[in-house]
Amino acid sequence: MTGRILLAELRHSSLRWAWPVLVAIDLFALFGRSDHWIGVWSETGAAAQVPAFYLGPAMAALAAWTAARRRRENAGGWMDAAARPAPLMECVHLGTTLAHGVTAYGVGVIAAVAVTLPGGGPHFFWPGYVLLGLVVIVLCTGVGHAVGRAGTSLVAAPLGTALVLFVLFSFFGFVPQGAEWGLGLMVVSGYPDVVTAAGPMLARSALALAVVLVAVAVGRGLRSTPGRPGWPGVPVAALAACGFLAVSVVGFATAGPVLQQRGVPDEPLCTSHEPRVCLWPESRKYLEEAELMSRRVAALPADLFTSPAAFHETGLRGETTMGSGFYIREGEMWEVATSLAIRIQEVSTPPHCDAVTFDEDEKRWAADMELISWLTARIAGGGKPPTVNGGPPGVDEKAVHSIITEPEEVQVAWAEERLATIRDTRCV
Amino acid sequence: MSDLRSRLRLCHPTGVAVGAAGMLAALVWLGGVAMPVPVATGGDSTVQLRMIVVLAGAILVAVPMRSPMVDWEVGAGPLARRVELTLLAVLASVGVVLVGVCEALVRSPESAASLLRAQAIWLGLAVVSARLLGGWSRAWVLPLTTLFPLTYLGWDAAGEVRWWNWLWQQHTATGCWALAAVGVAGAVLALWATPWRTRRLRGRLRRGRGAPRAVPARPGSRTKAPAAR
Amino acid sequence: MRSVVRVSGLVQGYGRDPVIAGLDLELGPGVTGLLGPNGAGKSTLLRTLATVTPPLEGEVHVLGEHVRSERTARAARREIGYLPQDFGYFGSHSVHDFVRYCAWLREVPSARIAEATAAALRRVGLAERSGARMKTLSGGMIRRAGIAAAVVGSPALVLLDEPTVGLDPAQRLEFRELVRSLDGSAVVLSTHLVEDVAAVCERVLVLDGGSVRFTGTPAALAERAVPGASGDTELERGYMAVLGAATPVTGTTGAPA
Repeated sequence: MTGRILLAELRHSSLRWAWPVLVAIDLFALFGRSDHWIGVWSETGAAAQVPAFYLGPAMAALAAWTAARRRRENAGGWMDAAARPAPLMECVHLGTTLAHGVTAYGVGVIAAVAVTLPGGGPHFFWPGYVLLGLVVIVLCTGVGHAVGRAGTSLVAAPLGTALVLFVLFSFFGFVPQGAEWGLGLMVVSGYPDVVTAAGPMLARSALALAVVLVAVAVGRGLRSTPGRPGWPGVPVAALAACGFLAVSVVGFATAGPVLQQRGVPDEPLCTSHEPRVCLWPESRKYLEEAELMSRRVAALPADLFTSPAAFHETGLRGETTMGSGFYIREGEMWEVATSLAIRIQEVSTPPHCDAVTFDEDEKRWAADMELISWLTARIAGGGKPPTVNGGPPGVDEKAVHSIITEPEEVQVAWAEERLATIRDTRCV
Repeated sequence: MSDLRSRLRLCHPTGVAVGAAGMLAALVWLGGVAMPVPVATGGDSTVQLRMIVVLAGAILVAVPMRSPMVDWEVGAGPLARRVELTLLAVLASVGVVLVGVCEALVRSPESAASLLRAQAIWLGLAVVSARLLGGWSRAWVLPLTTLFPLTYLGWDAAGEVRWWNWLWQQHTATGCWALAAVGVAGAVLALWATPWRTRRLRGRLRRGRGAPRAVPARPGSRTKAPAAR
Repeated sequence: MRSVVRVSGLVQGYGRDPVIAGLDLELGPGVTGLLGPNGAGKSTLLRTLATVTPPLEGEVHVLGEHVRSERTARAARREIGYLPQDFGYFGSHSVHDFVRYCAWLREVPSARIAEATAAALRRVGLAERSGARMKTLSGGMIRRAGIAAAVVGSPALVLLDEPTVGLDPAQRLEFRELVRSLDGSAVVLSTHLVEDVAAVCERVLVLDGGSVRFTGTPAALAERAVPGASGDTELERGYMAVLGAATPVTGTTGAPA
């Protein structure tokens, strides 16, 4: 029967007008973003989750508005007289709101899976990130519902809730990198070397559930006519919900990072050519480009440059130190080429030392950067794409990249000159 | 002035004043804080907190406009309507002056100009939202929705700010000032378009298209034919 | 008879479904009862007469002025006292503030507002509770405050939508006295309670399906009663008989029979 009531509420909810907008935001966030994630399951999961950053605060606003509106319209009078437990009725109302957010989010997830399915390879769908997005939406809807029940303003409650959550998520929502602090509720990218950890995910899910329970169970006074006390007694459901919330907050705080290093694959994807460029199986769509890069590395002047036998995508060998592999960040292969170039440069030149003079240090730095820039362009097979910003400091990249169109002997002479500068630098 | 005061009494003036003071404090002390947000072109970018504060401030104008006596006010004479419009103008002006002066003093006149432009657009959208969606309680919907395109889709693939991104375009950007003008014009139009005027306009348009002034029968009613005159 | 309200060819409704289809009506001073089943269009008609909702088709004249625009509508409202069926209020207002605010909304001259407010509160028996906050009042008292807000300043046209809902029997009797005392005003009283109509109305208008089914005096309505019709009084039986008839009244004028 409760299910039927929920269906009836869904049919008549004023939020049905907001649902297409929520879906549009989700799909715009998904497909308006660069399409690098299509065909990579780990990135697909992350991309499907990114809209939660917007849907979460939006759902908080809608939940706050509907809850405050119901209270203003004095529906509380009916609920006060009902035989059915108040939390159950609140569940129906919150469930109605939640259904709109979850289904809108679900449309985006289905769309993301549908476009990745044809070329995504065997490692089907990563649910971790999608679950993380779902947690955010449930959490926000619960917070919004509680605020709406506690407040009466139909403007301040939704606006305040949405903006506070937006700001909070902007500052602390994303999985922290390095020494940053964060709640670890969202990711921007889904690199294949990390996965969501079961324990922290469970803690986050429990926290979202606890917030929902508090939103529906706490505050008998919130649904009563103001100024009229309810029946005396211990509010067992509310106390239980608060207790569960306290436990889940502690669990959340002590659960540790939401992302953990992934196990080493049995068979990484590697290029057939030497030097081998090895990728995670999820990154199979980049294998062709990696094959070309491998050939270009092999084609570098052998008497000037030494290449490692293999290059590995980060995490493939179980390593945890930074810089030991390369990332395919947002599908950008230019950065892969840069990583390969730096690695070749390290192998081909003497170990770094402090130069005798500042002037020599400066010259070596410039030569280093120019060589890396040139190697990057050679390995990538052309100039820098317009989507890539930044570059080695103090380098006229256009000039350096134009050299790769010169005859090989001109390029060799140019590279030799820089290598000589590096090698001739006198160390302290 | 006493009329305006009696109308103001209905709109939680203490709460609104406290909210406005809090926002101004946030604008002055935390306005320059940058928040990272994901963007469509990949990775993330930053939004400064003062932009969010101005958005909230623009919508805050709607709080006093929403009156619990609306059922009585719809049947009010021209004076009440004038007072309502005056109240909106006063609130908007106070908001503009406070934000403009604070931002110009704390940061720069250029930054103040950009914020005022954003404020004008959001204010306009708040009024249009209230009119289109059925009341001041929904004034937050359209302005809040703009956060998504502004923060997520506001840059092109080359990292250039799109012409319509009024948060990040230069204070001299003509396109964004045009949007501000459209926003204000939209608000004026929305305030002008009372049910009497829209229905009259619709009637004129219908007659312009040559549609007959038919008296429709109510489907499903027991009325077999309209009453003869 | 001096015409206070004249409506001709009124079509009114929401969306594509007209609630009132081609209504003609003329009202002078005195009390007119508006009877009809749920959904008959009574509240829609009152909102139109209050100039809150512009008509889809047809003309509305209030006090001889053709109400055809925002400007004329707002001008006409100075002479219209309207009690909506469900109305909001500011809980922190005192009863006096509430009625005073409504007087101000209707542009009762400033010099007269205090006196008019006090008079209206006396009329509904709330003078002694004038300092009480609205949120502390019972449902019946809130209704009486609403009636005071509608009659404050003695408007020429008083439109009361279900005014007796929530009033106890004694208060209903007082309400009838109040309505009788509104000399010089044209009062339109929309109600489901036939006995209220019998007690205070000089004429009655039965509305159903957006059309006028009957217009005339309560006595004439009672004469329509047919043997076997349901109802406890002649007037109720007459009302039920009118509703049972299939064809609407043609050539409606609304003038007293």
